Amino acid sequence: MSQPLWLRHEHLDALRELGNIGAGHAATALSEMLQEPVRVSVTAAQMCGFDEMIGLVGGPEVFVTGVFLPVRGDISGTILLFLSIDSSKQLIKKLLGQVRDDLVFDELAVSALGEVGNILAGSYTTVISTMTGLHLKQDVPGVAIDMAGALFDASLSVVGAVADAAVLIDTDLYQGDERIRAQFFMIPDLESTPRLLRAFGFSEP
Amino acid sequence: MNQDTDVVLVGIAAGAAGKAPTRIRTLGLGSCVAVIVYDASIQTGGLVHVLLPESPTAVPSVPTKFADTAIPWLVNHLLGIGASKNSMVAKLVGGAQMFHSLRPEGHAVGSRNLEVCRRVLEQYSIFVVAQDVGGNYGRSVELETATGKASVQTAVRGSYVL
Repeated sequence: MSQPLWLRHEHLDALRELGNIGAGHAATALSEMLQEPVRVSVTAAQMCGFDEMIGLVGGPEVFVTGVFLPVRGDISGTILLFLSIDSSKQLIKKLLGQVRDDLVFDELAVSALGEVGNILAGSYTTVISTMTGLHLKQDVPGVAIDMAGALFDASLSVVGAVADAAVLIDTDLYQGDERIRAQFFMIPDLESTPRLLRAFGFSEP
Repeated sequence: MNQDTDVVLVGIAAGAAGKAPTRIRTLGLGSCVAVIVYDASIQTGGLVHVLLPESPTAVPSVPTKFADTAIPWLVNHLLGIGASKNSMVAKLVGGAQMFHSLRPEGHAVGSRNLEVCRRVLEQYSIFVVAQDVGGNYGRSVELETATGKASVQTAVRGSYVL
């Protein structure tokens, strides 16, 4: 799928800005949660088509953790966070001090991952609110560990009438030498995309 | 999965049909449903990867996205390459509920998809002869048009053939 026609350089700059400020907030929040310094850096902030999203995660059959966060308010949509299994295990080890070797994460681990997703995504929605004045509210996160394609299509079908593109903010979290990669996809509802752009001060697409 | 030259890959909200020895795959079904329609008499079949139950418009730009327009699309496509409606049978794969903590409307998508798929197939008098649906896990499926067999792969529940 090609880049949406309305996307221009200044839009990308705004996304990058959003990504960087959000990463700063996320680093603070995660450091508090994990009780040790965490650095967060944004490696990419871009628009991508749905077809590309799955490829960016590693393909439809790659086994990943997905955190699904519905967003409501002045604009609505979904934030979908993908973490690799290795990254998920690292996070669980830090949070709970333990991890099982098999792929079946227990309820506590799953809820811990949901909380991390909540904090990270919350950092970005807070920045959107601050930058734009739009009121946003996150719903309870859903967590599942399965094929990326399955997590993705389940998220899409909940959003329903969606735009054909999503915002990707690709972040690396560092705790000491350990790197955790978190990929955020913000999928606005069809009618929310122009509203979001207007709020950032851009004219109609 | 050898002989990759004969494998057609179907993406989300897409569809394909073909004759033996073609194999048609779709990967990572969550709440989506793969509807397979097959005519054994001429070893011809197809698959649509349906995202949502009902099209908001009568003629959507992507008919393969919605159950109520994707199945007619597939049946017509198969008729066009020589299949006959009387010998068509169907298999359903997918329609899971991936996230437990979703709101009620989110929970319903997988089962709503299945419901509409069954209803539309019934309108065409096409029997569902096998299915692997529901649950909370993802699936990939491959239709082998030479035999009509549908191989299902999951990340957490192993693999099996329908």
